[in-house]
Amino acid sequence: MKKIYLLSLLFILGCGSGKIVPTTDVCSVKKHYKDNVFQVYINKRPISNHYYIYEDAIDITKKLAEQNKCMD
Amino acid sequence: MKSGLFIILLFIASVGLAQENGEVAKVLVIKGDAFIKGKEAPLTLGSPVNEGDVLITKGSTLLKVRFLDNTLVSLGPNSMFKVSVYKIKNGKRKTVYNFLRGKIRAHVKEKRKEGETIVFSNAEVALGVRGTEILANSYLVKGAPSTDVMLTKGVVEVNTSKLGTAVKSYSLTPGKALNTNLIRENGIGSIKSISSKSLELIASSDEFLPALQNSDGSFVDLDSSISKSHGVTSKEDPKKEQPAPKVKEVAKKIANTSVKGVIAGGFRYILKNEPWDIRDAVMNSDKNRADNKCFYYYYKTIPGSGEYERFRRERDCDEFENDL
Repeated sequence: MKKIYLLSLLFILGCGSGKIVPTTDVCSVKKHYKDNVFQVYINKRPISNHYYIYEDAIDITKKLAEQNKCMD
Repeated sequence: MKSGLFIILLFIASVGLAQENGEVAKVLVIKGDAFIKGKEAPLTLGSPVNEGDVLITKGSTLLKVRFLDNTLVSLGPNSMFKVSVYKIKNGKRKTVYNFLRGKIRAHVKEKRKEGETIVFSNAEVALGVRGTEILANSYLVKGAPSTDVMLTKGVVEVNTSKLGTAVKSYSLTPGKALNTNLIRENGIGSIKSISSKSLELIASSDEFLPALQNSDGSFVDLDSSISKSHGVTSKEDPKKEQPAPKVKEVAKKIANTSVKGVIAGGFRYILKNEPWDIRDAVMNSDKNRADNKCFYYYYKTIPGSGEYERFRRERDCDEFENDL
C-alpha cells in the first residue's frame, strides 16, 4: 500500500513539473536544384513540398524553433 | 566596287533562298526552354523559324530571334509570339507579328520604307512600326486582358479602335508608355511619360518592360518599377541596401541567422537573372510583409508536356505547411 502511495506521489509530482524538454532536431533550408527557391527541412526531411524565397524560408525555420520543432 | 556588288547580290540570293525554304528567322539566343507550337523538338541556337510559326517560351526562359530584315525579337518567360505574315516582295516587306502572351522586346533595325507594312499586334492593339524599338507585355488582370506598350526608339502608330476609344489611332514616341485598361478608362490622355533616366536605363539594357498593372488592378509607378528592375535605389528610401548597387547588376543579400544548416553567409539574389515571379517576391518582400502577403512555390507537371513547371500561390506570412 505504501508503495502505491509513493508511486502515486511521484507520478503527480512528475506531471506537475511542467518542464519542456528542448528538441535536438535541426532545421535547415535547401535550394531547389534549378531555381533559387528553398525548401525547409527538419533533420533532412522536408516539412512540405512547398518552396519559398530565401528570406521566407529562414523565417519559417525561426517560427519552427519558437514552436520547439527544431533547435535555434 | 565589284566586291560590294557581289556582297549585295549574295545577300539578295540568301534572302531568296531562305524564303524559298520558308525560313524567315533564326534563333540567336536561347536560355531555358522554348519550342514551336506543334513541333516536338525544342528550339536551339540557329534553329529556323518559318512564317506561321508560334514561338512558345517556358518559365525562366529568354529567346531571341533575328529575322531576315535584321529585326530582333526577344521573348521573356511564359510568352507566346506568332509570325503571322512575313513576306518580302520586290524588296518591300510585309510583316505582321502577334504577341499573344508574356513579354516581348522588338527592335526593327531597318526603317520602314514607303509601301512596307510592319505591324505588331494582339487582341487589343495594333502597332505600326517605323524603325523602332518597342517593349510590350500581354497578360491577364482578374481574368481580363491587359496590354502594355512602351517605346525606346523611333515612332509607332498605335491603333486601339478595338478598345472603343474616341481617338482610334495615334503616335507613340520614345519614353511614352500605355496600358490598354488605362486607355479604356481615361482615354489617350492616360499615356504615361517616363523620366529620361528611366528611358536611358531600359534602352541600354536587354530588360523587358515591367508590368504597368498589378494583379489587383492597381497601376504601378513605372519609373520606380524600371529603377527597381535595374537595381537602382531611390534617394527617398534610405532603408534600402547600401552601397547602391550597379545599374546592370543588383544583389539582394539576405542576412544570415543563427539557425543551424543555413547556407553559409546567407543567399545572394541577382535579381536581373531571376524569373519574374521570384524577382517580384524578392523585390517587394518588405512591402508585401507589411500587407501580410507572402508566397509559396510548388512544382507540378502540365498534362502533355511532361516537364515540371513552377507555380506561385499567395499565403499569409505566418502561415506555412508542415506535414511532419
